[in-house]
Amino acid sequence: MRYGMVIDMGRCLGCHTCEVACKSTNNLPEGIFWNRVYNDGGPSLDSPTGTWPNNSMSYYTMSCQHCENPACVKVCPVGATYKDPETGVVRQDYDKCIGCRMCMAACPYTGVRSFNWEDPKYVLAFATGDAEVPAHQKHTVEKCTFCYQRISKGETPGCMVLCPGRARYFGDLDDPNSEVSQLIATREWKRLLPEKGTNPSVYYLV
Amino acid sequence: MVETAKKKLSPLAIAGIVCSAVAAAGIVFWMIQLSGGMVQTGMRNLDSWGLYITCFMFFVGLSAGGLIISSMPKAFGIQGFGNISKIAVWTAISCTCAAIGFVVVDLGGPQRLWELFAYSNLSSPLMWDIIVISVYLILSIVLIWAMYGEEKGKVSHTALRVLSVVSLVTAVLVHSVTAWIFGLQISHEFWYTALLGPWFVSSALVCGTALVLIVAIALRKAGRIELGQENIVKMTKLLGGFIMVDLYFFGCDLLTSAFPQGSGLEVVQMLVEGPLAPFFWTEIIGCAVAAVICFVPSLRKNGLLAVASALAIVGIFCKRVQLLVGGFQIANIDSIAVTGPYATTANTVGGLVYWPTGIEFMVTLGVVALGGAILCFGLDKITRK
Amino acid sequence: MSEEKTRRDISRRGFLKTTAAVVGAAAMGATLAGCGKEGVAASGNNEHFVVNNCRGNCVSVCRLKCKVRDGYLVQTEMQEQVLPAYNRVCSKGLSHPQRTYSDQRVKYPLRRVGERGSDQWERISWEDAISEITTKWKQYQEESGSPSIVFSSATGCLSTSPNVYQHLQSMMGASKTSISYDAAGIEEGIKVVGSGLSMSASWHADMHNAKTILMPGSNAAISMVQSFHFALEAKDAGATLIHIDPNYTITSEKCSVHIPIVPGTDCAMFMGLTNYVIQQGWADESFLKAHTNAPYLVNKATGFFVRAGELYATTEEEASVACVWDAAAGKAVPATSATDTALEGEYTIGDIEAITAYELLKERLSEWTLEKTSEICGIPVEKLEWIADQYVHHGPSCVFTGYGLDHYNGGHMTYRAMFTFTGVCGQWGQSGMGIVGASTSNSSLSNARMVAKDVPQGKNLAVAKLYEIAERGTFNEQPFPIRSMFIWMHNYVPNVADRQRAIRFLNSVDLVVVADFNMCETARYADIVLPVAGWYEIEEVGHGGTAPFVNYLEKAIDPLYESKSDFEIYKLLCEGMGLGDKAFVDLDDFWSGYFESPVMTGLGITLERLKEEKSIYLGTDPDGFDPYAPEGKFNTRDGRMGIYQEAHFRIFGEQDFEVVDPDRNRLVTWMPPNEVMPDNPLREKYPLVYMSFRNRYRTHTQFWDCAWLKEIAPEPTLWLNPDDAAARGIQGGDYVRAYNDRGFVVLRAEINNGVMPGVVVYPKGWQEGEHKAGHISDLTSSYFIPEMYNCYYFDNLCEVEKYQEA
Repeated sequence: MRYGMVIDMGRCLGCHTCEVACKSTNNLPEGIFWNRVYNDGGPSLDSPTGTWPNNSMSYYTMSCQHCENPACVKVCPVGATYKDPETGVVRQDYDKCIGCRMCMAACPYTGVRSFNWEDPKYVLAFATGDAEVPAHQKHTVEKCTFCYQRISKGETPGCMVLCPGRARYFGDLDDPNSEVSQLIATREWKRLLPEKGTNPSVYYLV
Repeated sequence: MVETAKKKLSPLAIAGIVCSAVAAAGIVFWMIQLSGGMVQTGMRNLDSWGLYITCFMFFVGLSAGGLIISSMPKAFGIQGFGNISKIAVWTAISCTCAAIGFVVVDLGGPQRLWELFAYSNLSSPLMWDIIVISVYLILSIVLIWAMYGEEKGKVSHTALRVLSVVSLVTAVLVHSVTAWIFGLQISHEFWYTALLGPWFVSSALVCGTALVLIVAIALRKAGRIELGQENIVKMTKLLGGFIMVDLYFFGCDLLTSAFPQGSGLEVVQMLVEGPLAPFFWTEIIGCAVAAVICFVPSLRKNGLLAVASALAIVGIFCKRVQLLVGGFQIANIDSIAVTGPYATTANTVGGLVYWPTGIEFMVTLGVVALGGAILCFGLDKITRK
Repeated sequence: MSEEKTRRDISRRGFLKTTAAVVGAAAMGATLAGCGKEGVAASGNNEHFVVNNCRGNCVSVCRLKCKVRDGYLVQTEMQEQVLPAYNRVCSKGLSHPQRTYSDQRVKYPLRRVGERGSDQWERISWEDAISEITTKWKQYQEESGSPSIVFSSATGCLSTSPNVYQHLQSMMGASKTSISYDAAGIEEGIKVVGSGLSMSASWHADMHNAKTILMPGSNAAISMVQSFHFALEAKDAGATLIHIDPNYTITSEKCSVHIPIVPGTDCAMFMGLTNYVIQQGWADESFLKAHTNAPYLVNKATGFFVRAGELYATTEEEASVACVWDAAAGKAVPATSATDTALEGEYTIGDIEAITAYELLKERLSEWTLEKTSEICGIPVEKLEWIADQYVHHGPSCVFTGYGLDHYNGGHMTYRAMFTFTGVCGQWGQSGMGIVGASTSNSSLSNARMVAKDVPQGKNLAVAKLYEIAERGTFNEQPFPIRSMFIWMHNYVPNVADRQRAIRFLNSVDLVVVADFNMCETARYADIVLPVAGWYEIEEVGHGGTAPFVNYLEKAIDPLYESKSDFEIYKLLCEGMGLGDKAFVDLDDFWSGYFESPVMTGLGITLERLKEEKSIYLGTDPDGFDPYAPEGKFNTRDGRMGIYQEAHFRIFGEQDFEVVDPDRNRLVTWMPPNEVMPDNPLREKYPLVYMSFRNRYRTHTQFWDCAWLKEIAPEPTLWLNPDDAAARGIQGGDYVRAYNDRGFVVLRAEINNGVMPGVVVYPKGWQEGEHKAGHISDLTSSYFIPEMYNCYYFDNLCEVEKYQEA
């Protein structure tokens, strides 16, 4: 089993639904985002490029790429970040993390890893989302887990439950009949920073 | 009534006490940093390392350089630089302790330090560095003990020579491995170069030699040691040579980045006229001036030599800043997204992605003072007549 | 009788502790509404799920799977719809846990101390609150008459039970308001094409089958984000999506073509296109003859249709039927019995000089050459030709739009022009045709029992008229004092045009009561605020908005603090007014009226069936392809599209003193916007058009108190074209001051390459206290042309400068 994502840039409307779904499902602290909407080229979050009216505009989302050849796993001195052999998910053990932040320096995908720079802050008195989400810890690194607590039960990751634009797909890249495999086989795609050799598991349909 | 000679505190000892006090204050600030959170520093997600790791690199360089200077003559069986060997080794030990201190204060979870030895991931350059620095520290202590031993006849020349060779190799390894923490990472174009290993070694030699030079000149001025001027001159020439090598490596790197006129141009621009320009030019000009002072015999006066050494040390520190901050300065993915308060700080200076906060300066001062205390107390003992 | 002065915003820690205690206790009584046909199973960890809805005025009414754990509502996620094509949720719908437990919830009844709007309150008991309100109302009824009490709701909650106050209003003989938000578009739609199960448009899935989709004045990729995928699916199947908008947005990007247009000139564009279609001989005459009133004979002298009863003796039923000229019979006959309808021609019938409405339309349109059109709307002639050709020859064609076109004076005519154009093209009646847009199942639920019989009813006042009525003190030239406003699910102050005028209006009213579940801006201007229970704290019946369903909604948690459901509050007020015995007995009694309607009985939907099935589809096609006006049968009185409107009448608000020129409104007429036309001399002073976009992170002003959304959008912004910004020395991130004679606002500038030069855009929905200074709604104009009472939000000019802090 090798989980991966396919994101259809032709369908992404930059609505931030998946960004908030992740926050809600994983009870993310204030200021922490695991999944973000990016404006491809525009000078501000909702500006196209070009000179009016000859503009163009494109959004994509980015979270941990769960690389096949992850740079972060190599460098963690205590093995707190590791690739799960069964699912291909790059996981993070908060209890082991010593907060050296080497993984953040080693990961080429700017910003997908977050450090809890202080005590996690929440607006609500209770945890939102899934009960099985490990508690966020001060001074440890965290990132997208492919909602491991869900996929280990055969459920859908929070950001994949419903994309209004119908741009998001999740599934087993090792299964040639999965939706993600079919899309990769039949549509044109690109990946982020392929020249770095990390072999990311997230594909963007162009 | 027996008159007991009152032991007057030497200036070195006083300096050591002052350093200890500052180090203690540094610990207090470190506790504040841990309890209130590292959000009090200027580091954030888009630049997760800062002043501490910069200083770590810097002090590893200082220590490696110091030891190479002292053990190279013994290793090659050539005449050394006089009786400064023990001083050089002690500066190396002090700097290594400071370097380790910097790693510790940079950790989010120092209480989990033991995990480094329980769960060691041997594929990690950081792990390698921890191993190699530990070995290096132990070796340095053994070396200085062996030096005393040899004087007293307890340790043979050959043994000392072997130890010196091993120390020399370890010193080169230490700074190569430290380089590899950055140089093996494909994440930042500015870091990912094979040159980084040799370059760190050459930078280490520059600042290490400069440090030993300054310490030697100061101790001689204070009358704590005797040192022939020819030894000073030898070290000065070495310093000049090392600076040229270091600048040569710099030149190679800049040319390689700039020539294809591709993505590397961004790096060159960032250094030469972008946010890192002050550090870049301070290094280039400072090191050039230092080299001139080193090579022009008429300029080799003690005062100027101290200035040259200081310029070289500052220059190398600027190099560390360029490397660390420069690596993070250029984001691989710079598309606009929601960032939030943990992406970058608001207090950055001159377009830099990072600038230290007050607490970082205080903790840094504390760690430097720790190294200073070890240095002063040690030198006090070593140079006591 | 507690008189403690309470600061509304208590410390976070204190609040959270209280919350835990209150909610923990409530959890013991939390009802599990059962699994029903949803198959929503409980999981471990003391968790269970219920199914409920979001109800904000984006009208998507997303179905939500509500996770309750240890008595807290911990997550609201998408719940599958009966037709999965309508599955939907957004960043706001996901944020309901934060909204439910927000520190902006109204916890108990509040009475104002200090000036209106000073946000100083004392806590009072429910008894005191109801007693004070009803005592004063009875006093006002005596002094000024029942109509002086005005009940005002809008669309803040799309479900049934908040509507129950209308029953109280009716029983009291009090007045009510009609929305003046999107009123031009909605009213014109009802008049011209009628209103059916989906109001005046097709269900959104229907555009799946279109081959040409025209999108004028719409930012649907944001404003109708849950329906936009249908358009994209059509595009994937080969449809051409044509986006017509002054600005370039993500909607423009996803469409096949973006065509810029001068703001507020879409009516001119449609008129030119219609004229061109007619001139080219492309008009769908058989459609026009059979399904529109274009062939109706108009009495030239009066402008009214020639009715059968005028021509000969006939049954009462047929007497009112309009006549057409039957070419084969060679005479005028009732339209219902014609066999060879003439579309064109002038005819003399006795002493009546008659002409077909179509001839009058052609005449009206004749000056609208493409050259003239192009000059006004800025679209090149070739592009206009192309649009027309696409729409006529590359169908099925439909228009996918919301209410952007509504927001300029003359907007109602833009909709008339749109209907006229699409009618002349004959693109109605089959799947993929017609108008798809702000259709909603809103109209599927109506309750005849809400109108009290034998009680003289009060006035129906357009919201946009309230301030001027109070300023004049008269309505329709009779004295008309407004003594009290009862406002619920209506955040009037920041949403109405010309906010400062609205505040002055409220300050002139003796008693302002607001029922809401959080301290929205309007609540801050109240005298008494009543805490309403949140959406997930009650059982409810509701429609699905643009998702074609009716739903039964399960309660997730008990009402928080001292809040009560709207129904409970209604009962208390009825008691207080002495109408307790006439009030609905319970919720089932109230809901039963909805299921007696012809719509529900026709579909075979009963309350019992709904409670069991939880969600019932309102359409007929299993794939959701349900065009409005199937086979050309419109939901108008005569079953035809009303291109020609004999008489001007109003739906959203009663007629006041204005005199309306009857002829101008019979056919599509170009009524230019009031301020934003390029030749307005006011542009010397205020050269920029001030318009808004839908804010991704708000539904109008709702969700203003959700931390997740504020992390993404922490403060209000103003988007400027780079040239306009550079000319004013403004860079992205600067604070800027936008101003005109009505007011000002200070916003953070963002440079946006897609904004048309000469236009500035503010994502709307911000409230008092969120702007650096001023308020976005202080610049909008309350001017409306006599034809249509409405808030014309884009019909404003302003200037922008870099902000200098004092």
